[in-house]
Amino acid sequence: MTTAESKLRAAARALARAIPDGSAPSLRLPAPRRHRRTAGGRARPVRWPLGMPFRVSRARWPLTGFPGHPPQAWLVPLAAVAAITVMAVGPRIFVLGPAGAAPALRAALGGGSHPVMILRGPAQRPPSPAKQHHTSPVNRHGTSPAKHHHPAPLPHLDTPTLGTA
Amino acid sequence: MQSEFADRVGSRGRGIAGTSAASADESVSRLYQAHASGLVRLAVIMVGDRPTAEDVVQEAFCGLYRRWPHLADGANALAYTRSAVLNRCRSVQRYRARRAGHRVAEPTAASAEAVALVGEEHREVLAALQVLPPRQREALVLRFFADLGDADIARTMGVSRGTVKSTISRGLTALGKQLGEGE
Repeated sequence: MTTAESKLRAAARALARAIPDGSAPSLRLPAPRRHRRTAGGRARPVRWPLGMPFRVSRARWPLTGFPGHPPQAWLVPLAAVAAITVMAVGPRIFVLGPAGAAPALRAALGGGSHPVMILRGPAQRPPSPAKQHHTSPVNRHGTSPAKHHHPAPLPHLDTPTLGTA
Repeated sequence: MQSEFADRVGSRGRGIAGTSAASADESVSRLYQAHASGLVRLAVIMVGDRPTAEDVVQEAFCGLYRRWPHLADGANALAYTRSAVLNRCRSVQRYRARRAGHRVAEPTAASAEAVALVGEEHREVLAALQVLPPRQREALVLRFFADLGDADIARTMGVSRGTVKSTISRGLTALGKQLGEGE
């Protein structure tokens, strides 16, 4: 064995000690495509379905508030909470769901403060001010909103909240 | 959660049936657990730092996961992934060289992190490896750091076994010269 060969083997052994088997970080499976092309070629965002694993690139890693925890570690408790959609936007993880999910999420994540935004789901989002006339008892045309088939906001939901879980 | 994922992917018609996506999940995860560290070691020597090496390996496994339904033989998955890791290492080196405004063939110095990983006493070996032509470096890294035989190296590099043998031989001679052997 030449000196070069023995030196290479020694370096390989040193590297094997530095990076032992099983020390690689957990596998992050690829994300589904975030945008779907329309017929016109324009990209439109696709909502992130619940329970779908996704990959967060190192550039955005570690996630604020979850240092060293791969998404799978906390997506599992999140998946236990119904009607939640998880989205990664830049360094933040957004959780789309009903406002009532915030306490359940906080409990699932072990309490404390987390930079997980609890947004209202689109189904529960009240109409924008521009469309207020649709849900007001009498709109500007003097007709009732029922005639236009615009459902009133659900009574058990309060105003939209954007806060940390 | 995984099976739900498989169902969703399958239902979107991306070419992965529900069951095959589930088997891809399981098979890729198993392969990752068994070989990820070895591939990270290989990539560390090629790219010089561990975070990039881990990213390279992750990307390679993500690629394997995407291509799993098209893989003719599951037994070739490891060789496929190893080639993918090597290709991505080359891409990283090309990208760095382009960003630095250097020629692609210009050797890069052994990074401080790689040296820290293998120890100061091996610094000269890493530096000498970086000076070698890319093909010789890859052959030596696959032989000594990934501990592969001629046939596996040939399959990974996409060359014949004879080429592997001659490349390793020439690489060792060149490395010996770099290390001042026979002086």
